[in-house]
Amino acid sequence: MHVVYDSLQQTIAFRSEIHTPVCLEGVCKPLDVLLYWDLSGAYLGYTTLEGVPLTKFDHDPFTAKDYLQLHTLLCNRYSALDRKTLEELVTSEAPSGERIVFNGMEVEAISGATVKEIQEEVVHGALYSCYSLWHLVYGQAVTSIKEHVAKNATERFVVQLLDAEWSHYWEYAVRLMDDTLIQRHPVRLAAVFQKCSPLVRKRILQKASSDHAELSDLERRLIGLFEEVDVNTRTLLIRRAIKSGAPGLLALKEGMNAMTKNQLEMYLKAAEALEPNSRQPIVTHGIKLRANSESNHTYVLQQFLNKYE
Amino acid sequence: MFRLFVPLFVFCSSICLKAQSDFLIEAESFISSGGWLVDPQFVEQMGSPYLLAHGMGEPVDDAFTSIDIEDGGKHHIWARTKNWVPGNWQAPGRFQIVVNDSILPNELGVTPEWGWEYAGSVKLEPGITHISLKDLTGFDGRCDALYFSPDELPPPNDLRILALWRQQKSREPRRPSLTKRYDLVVTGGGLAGCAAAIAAGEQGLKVALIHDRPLLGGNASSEIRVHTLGIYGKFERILRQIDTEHYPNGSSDAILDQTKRDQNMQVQANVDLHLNFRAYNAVSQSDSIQYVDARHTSSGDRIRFEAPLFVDATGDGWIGYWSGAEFSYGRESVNEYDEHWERWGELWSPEEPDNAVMGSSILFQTTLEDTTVVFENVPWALDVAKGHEAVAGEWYWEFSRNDLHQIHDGEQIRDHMLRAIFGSFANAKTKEENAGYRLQWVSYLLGKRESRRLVGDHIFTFRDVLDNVQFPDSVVQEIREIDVHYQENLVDEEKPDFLSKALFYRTGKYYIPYRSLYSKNISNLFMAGRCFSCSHVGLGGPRVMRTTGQMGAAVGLAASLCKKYGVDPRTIYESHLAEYMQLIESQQSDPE
Ligand SMILES: Cc1cc2nc3c(=O)[nH]c(=O)nc-3n(C[C@H](O)[C@H](O)[C@H](O)COP(=O)(O)OP(=O)(O)OC[C@H]3O[C@@H](n4cnc5c(N)ncnc54)[C@H](O)[C@@H]3O)c2cc1C
Repeated sequence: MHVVYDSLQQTIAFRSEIHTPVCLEGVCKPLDVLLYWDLSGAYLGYTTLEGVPLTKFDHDPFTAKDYLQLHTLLCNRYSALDRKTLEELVTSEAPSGERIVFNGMEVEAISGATVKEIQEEVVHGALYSCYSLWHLVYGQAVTSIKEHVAKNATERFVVQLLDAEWSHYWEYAVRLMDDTLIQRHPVRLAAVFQKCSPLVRKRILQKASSDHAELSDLERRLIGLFEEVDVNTRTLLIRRAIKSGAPGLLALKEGMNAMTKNQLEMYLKAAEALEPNSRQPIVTHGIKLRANSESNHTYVLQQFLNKYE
Repeated sequence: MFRLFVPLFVFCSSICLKAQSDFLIEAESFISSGGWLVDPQFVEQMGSPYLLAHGMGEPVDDAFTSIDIEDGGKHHIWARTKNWVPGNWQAPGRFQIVVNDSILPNELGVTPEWGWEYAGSVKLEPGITHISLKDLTGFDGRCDALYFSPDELPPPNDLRILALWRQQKSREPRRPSLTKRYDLVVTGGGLAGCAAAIAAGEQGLKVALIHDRPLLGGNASSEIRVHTLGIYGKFERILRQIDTEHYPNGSSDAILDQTKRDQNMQVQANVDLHLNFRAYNAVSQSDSIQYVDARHTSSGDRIRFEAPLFVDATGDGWIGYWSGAEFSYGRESVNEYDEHWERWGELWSPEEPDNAVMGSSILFQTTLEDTTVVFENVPWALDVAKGHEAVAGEWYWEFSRNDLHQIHDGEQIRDHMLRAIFGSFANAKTKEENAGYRLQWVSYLLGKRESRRLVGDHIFTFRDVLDNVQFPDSVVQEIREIDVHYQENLVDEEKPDFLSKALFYRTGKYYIPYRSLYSKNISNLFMAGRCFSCSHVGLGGPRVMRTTGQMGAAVGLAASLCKKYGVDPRTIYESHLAEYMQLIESQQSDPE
């Protein structure tokens, strides 16, 4: 496995040169290609070695379409080839239309159960090569890359992932960050939080949140994005804010009109539980100012005020 | 509860401020509900069954009752109701009250949250007074009760105080006046409960089946219309009497299977069907349930059911919950039972436990007609539907959100789905090509997938499937994929929040042990159906209804051995397993 660098000496990919024999009925053919993975271990692409095109089992060279089909197959992490052994795939009982003839001998036949799905995925006449490459792409190599990255991930590397444009890099970066590192990049993480999927947001929040009453700079920034994130993330933000008591509730006051009924009730219940002195600023600067707005749930705020005034 | 045509004399009490001739009428007890429907789904949250004007946009026929008034005079009238979609639009579910021939001035159903709205006042003459509810919209107006009083003071809103007040107004004694005794009391008449009742009844046990609907089958009934999936296991003969064909979910074909099921249940000699009775309490002493109390969803009549053994087949684990059985809700951490599936990671099973569960659904059916069918604008639904357009629904119209609980927030979830359906249909109707579509049927009953899971001696998990564990007490078997749902907006927040996707893990045959079908800490409680003892992912496969039916049949048979030996469910596993497994084996043939 080799590391691929860009001109700034930043790691941008991993590469492995494959020379493996593909054998069938005692007849072996070499398979020579270069495989590429990104920094998270996701498959990027492959190239042939110079002067060594890919061929099918009957020695016919791959057509342009075959090359593309192989790439499409290798991109599919969840191919029907997953969790299958070659023995399961190949059977002598398949109908003759699904068999491949080599030197006058039938050599490949895809088994009945998966025949349709797999035939659509693999290059016709190259099941063995396709099978071998797919398992190389998703096999030990991924584990090695992940282990290598986990061991060698510098802060600079993690920042590189966060600054990238791919959402799976963001999640990967967050996984690589420990509790201290994550608090050192509040601006970057807030930027990611704004644009990533709810699932990645959940991950960021899990990593960023502590049980301390006090909110960190990062947590404040995330709470500040309340109105810009999805409804499920908002619930998680409210839960975190509640743990920090009055400062958290105050930090969320702008978001009150965007809350669902249940979220508002969670918020108000937490406000209710505060000492009157701590509650007062939330009532004055938060609840009162929003109780007459256009939002559909202002009645919940009004009910609260009626109870407390 | 109020008895029709019976004059009420209200006694003075701590809550009754003045001894006046005021009276309370429960809407669900009206002589005729007209086009309104009795909705008992949310009693635990809002206090009572209520009438619902579910006309899919067409105002429904008036509900009607009469009452014999002793003392006439001016009365103020309140209705307990709610605006089910508060917002900057006209409330969608409005109605009025008509007393004799006069329509009371105030439109009702306009204030958020359940509470008493003032309808107006009338001068009543002694004698028979006619009262009706006039639906104005066809969009799910709701009325729980009416209160007539010469006084200007509305009844209390606080749920706890209201419950006491109600009890006093209706002079209801603390305990039901009628007690019935059985060998086995099964609560919940879904496939699980029906199968449990049949199996136990066939073995000679006297069985009560308490079910809160007029029709049996739960999610498979023609009121919800989910078709039954899964295999029969050892119980084909029993399950064929109550299951369904494979029609599309929501199809009116469900009605045929309903007839079959109801007929087959009615001929069970040892099973007393208590339809339209909703259990509201189960009391245990020394970790053993003594009785279950249930109330009729219209008349309010109550019965106490005593038995040595009980089955919780309510889906929501109510009997377990009330009696103090251990239960779980939500998703375990992936590591708790080692249930990971790398492909789907967090969507399959989370790194940290959370309260997300699979959501609930409302199914609906449309018809295509030759002429243009008009569907009203529904501005109050568009917050939910947004731009989504649809003229058909299916199982994936499903709603779950992390600030909502599938039981406590059931009404909110149901109402959200109604808005999703009405809004998406209205959006579709703006297109020329959809002019002929009519909303023919929209369920008002939530089809639930997951809520409380009662804890048994064994907790069935995805691990049991992966490891292909064959238990000595494997009483249920299944080959269906393990499928777990997630809301689409968790992956792409632009997606409507009421649509889900399913993740299917294909597998060989797997088995559920008997030990997952009785409570760990309540010694005489069985559970069958989706409230059986399992993890969130463990529920993924066996929650389908032939499988839950197998669970029911298995506990019905176990109950017969409990009776034979005078023992509790656990002892069957510990001391009578061989006989029990043999009894199950013998089920394929006719018991005659
Ligand atoms: C939209 C949707 C699609 C689905 N698709 C399929 C499918 O294709 N095939 C399939 O087999 N399964 C499907 N499922 C899953 C299956 O329907 C559920 O898991 C089902 O709940 C299992 O049956 P059950 O008998 O455990 O519960 P239920 O069917 O929910 O029955 C329990 C019954 O108990 C009654 N009850 C509850 N509380 C009380 C009380 N206190 N007193 C008296 N009665 C009470 C309820 O009214 C209910 O009717 C689907 C579910 C949904 C919502």
